[in-house]
Amino acid sequence: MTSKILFNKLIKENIQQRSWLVALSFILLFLGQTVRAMIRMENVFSGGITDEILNILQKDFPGMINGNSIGILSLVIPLLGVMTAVTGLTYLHATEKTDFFHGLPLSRTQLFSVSYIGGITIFVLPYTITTVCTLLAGSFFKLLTSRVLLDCTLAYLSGILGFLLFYHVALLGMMLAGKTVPGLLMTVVIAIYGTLINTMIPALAQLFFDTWNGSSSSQLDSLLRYSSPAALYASIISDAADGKFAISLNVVILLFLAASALLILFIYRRRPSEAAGQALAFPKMAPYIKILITIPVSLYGGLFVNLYNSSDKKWVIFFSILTAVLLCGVIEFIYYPDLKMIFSGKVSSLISIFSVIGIICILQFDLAGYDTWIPRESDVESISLYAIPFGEYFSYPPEECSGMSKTPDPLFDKEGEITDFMPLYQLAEEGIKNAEIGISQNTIYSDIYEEEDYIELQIRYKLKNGHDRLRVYAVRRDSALEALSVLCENDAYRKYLFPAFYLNEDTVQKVSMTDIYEFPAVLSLSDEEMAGLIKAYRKDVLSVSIKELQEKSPVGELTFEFPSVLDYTEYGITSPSTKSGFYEQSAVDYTTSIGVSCFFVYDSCKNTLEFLEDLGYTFRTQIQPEDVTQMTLITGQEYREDQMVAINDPEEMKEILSRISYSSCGILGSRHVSEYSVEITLSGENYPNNYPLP
Amino acid sequence: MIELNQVTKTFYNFTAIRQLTAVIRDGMIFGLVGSNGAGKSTMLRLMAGILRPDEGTVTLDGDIIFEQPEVKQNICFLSDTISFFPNATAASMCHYYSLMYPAFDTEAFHGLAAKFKIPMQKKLQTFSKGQKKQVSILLGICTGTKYLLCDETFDGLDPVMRQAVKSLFASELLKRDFTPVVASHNLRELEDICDCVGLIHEGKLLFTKDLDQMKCNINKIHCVISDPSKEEHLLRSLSVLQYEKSGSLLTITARGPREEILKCAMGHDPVFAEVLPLSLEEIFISETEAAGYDIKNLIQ
Repeated sequence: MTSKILFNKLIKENIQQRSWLVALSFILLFLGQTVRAMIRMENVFSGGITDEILNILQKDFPGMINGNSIGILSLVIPLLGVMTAVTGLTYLHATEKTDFFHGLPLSRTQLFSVSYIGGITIFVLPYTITTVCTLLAGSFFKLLTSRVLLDCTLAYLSGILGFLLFYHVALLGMMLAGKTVPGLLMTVVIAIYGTLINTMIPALAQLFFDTWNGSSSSQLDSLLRYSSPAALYASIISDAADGKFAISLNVVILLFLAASALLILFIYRRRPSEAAGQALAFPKMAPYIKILITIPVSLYGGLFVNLYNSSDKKWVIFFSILTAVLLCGVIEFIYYPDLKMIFSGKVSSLISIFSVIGIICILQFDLAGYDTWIPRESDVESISLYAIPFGEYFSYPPEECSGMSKTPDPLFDKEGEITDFMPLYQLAEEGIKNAEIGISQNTIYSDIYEEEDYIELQIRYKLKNGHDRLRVYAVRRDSALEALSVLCENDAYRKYLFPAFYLNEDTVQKVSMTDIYEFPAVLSLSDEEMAGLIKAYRKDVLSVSIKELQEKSPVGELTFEFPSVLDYTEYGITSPSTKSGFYEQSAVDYTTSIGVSCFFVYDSCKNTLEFLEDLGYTFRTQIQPEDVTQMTLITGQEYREDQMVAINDPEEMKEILSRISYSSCGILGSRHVSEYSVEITLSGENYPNNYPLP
Repeated sequence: MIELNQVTKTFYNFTAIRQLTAVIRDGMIFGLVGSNGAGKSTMLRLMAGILRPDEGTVTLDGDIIFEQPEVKQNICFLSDTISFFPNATAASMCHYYSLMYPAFDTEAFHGLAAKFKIPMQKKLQTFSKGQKKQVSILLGICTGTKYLLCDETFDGLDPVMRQAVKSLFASELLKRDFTPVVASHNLRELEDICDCVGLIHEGKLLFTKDLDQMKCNINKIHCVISDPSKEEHLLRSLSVLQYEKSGSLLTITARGPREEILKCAMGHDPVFAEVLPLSLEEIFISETEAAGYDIKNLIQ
């Protein structure tokens, strides 16, 4: 058989033999794609067609082609990939069928080619028809523009690529196994193995290493979308639905498809016919497969238990080892379906179990010295610092309104790299010493250290060899404050760190001030006055003592307001809700502005206070007793009636009022407050304000 | 011809075929006999190009068979376990075979199917085992291949069908270059169809012999000789494979032509002498015992 016509006839025969699968593909794709898309469009438009809704739906439409925005379709495509592969190669798993096909005057390459192309046709034909139907439906709802059509084409092609990914994986699984069930299990393993490893490493590190920084896995995170066929599938349909064409991703997928096709053919040509009915086509692979599967799955088994008991590692260790033992038996049972054989393969079982134990020992006892590692000073180019409390203290204007290219990231930005790094180096040394005695990011929030004053710091060592190393340390707040004070002696660093220098006068709509009375007052300022206020505030920020930012309470804060999300379309920004694809679940209701607060004003901010006073605005630093209509002392954290004491005595009231301040928030975390607080209802207000007591 | 040269085939830890050498010449019906698990199916599957030999070569007219479609077009293999496509009919299988084998005679298949009353459009999965075998055999014959390898094909056929198939084989042999190879553990079945038989045991081919030649060269004689010394002389005179005395009746299985054996016996003044035909089974037993194998219990 050499002619092309005969080859085509054989493909047609192959498809006819699997005609039930053609029908099933069509039904699943039609229901999962076309019908589902029509229902969604109908639901959305039933509330009336507006430009915003049309825009949202147009952005969502490509995702309806490839399943990115239709969950069921995103499952149907891989399912069809697997089913097509299984039905195409199931003859390899039955002796009589293998004899029949291998007895025909066809080479294995020819046999495989016929089945392979037949399988692709079984999917592509119905998928094309249903995609056309979906596009027609979209056209009926007036969704189709040239841009949308282009994105839909991309989505359609990504759907085919997604099918091919799982098709190839399943072909490989079926080829390596001699029975269908082990073949399917092999398919699952191949499909997700890379992602399993990729996500397991940071999860184990997070659990066992006290100084592990979540950003340490950024390299792994960046590889996540390439880590396995399943990850590639999720990435390609997501990108295509967003109209993105990532060259690297597509190249990786095409390379994977080409390499896997060659591998499958290579294996088939060497696959013994007598493998039919055996668990594995190549029995010599059995121990290696067992080891490769048992080790990561066992470690993952332990991590899974950790979801229920996050602080106690002993359960993780126990269940990891238990999973290893059980899994070895299960795999042997899959190889030889005989309970008496579950203890066979002793060497590979022992290697698997002891490898799991070994890895756990390395992690648990930090045999690799991860937590105690610090680079030599001579190897360090710079160190960057990010204190976790920065997230609560600093609040930056939206990037589009700041005129800056991005919000500062002190840990990774060049501006955050400190070359005169000794204060940070010493801080890191303190952090390592603390970790050695059990004071770390995992323990400082527990009751044991409630009275202590530790904070969590992220450190990035930029080494002279070009590599980065990240760690998280727990250090004393005052040590961190000392170090930060030294860093902030550099004006450039202050300008980089403080949000005041990200304010763009051109985009600020209005500003309000809030003092101890906690009632924001909008300031009526002209553009010049606004610019003047910002200038004065910046001057104060440059000169204020860092220790004051921690140890003293601000007298109040300024809140700057910026334009709404809707108007951001001028900047080319889409609404977040369209990206999620669940537009019909989010309210199509945008606020008119966004307020950014935490621009704290302190006693020493003379320029700001004087500027505001000149305009008639004053920060009140103490609540007057005559403004209080009701005061209740809360003596616990649970707000029970027996913990609430009404304060009516004017002297007591005065005493309490003298002790409360605007905020306990400091640049390196909140100052300690007692468990007592006071609720004060001010005159003219219906609801009380709560003030913690020092 | 199909030639197997020092072929060994091992399945995991079990050696099914061991250093086997055999030649299947064209234009004859070759019978392959052996007990269950002897290696008959393995040998046929090696010849069909389904299995790859671990050692040695399997060739057809000097060309390797495995993974060579052009060579395999001359061979059709009928397995003992019939496999058709799901929901296949005789007609659809006929069409499929016609694609695979250029020499497939569709008209002949339709004619034979009608003769054997096989419904062309009925699903094969509803057929009985015997009917499926019938379809399989007809498909195999109509492929027009030079070699038809039949693995325990006659099992499951009724006696009438068995005779019919044998007639078909004979007819095909007359019409074209056709060499069926029939594997069976039933010697009686092969006796009246095969020209040449080979005995396979524990993966080794013990011998391959022409059936007529075997039958001509081994004969059984019943005789009664009153003189013990003449009886003894007779036993020395013949090339005896086996003898047995029951009372005064002497039964001798000896190598040699029928006339010579009878003449020799008559020369010893027997009271009674008669040459009897040997069954294939008796010939095999004698031959294998002579070869040193006690395989009375190996074949039915």
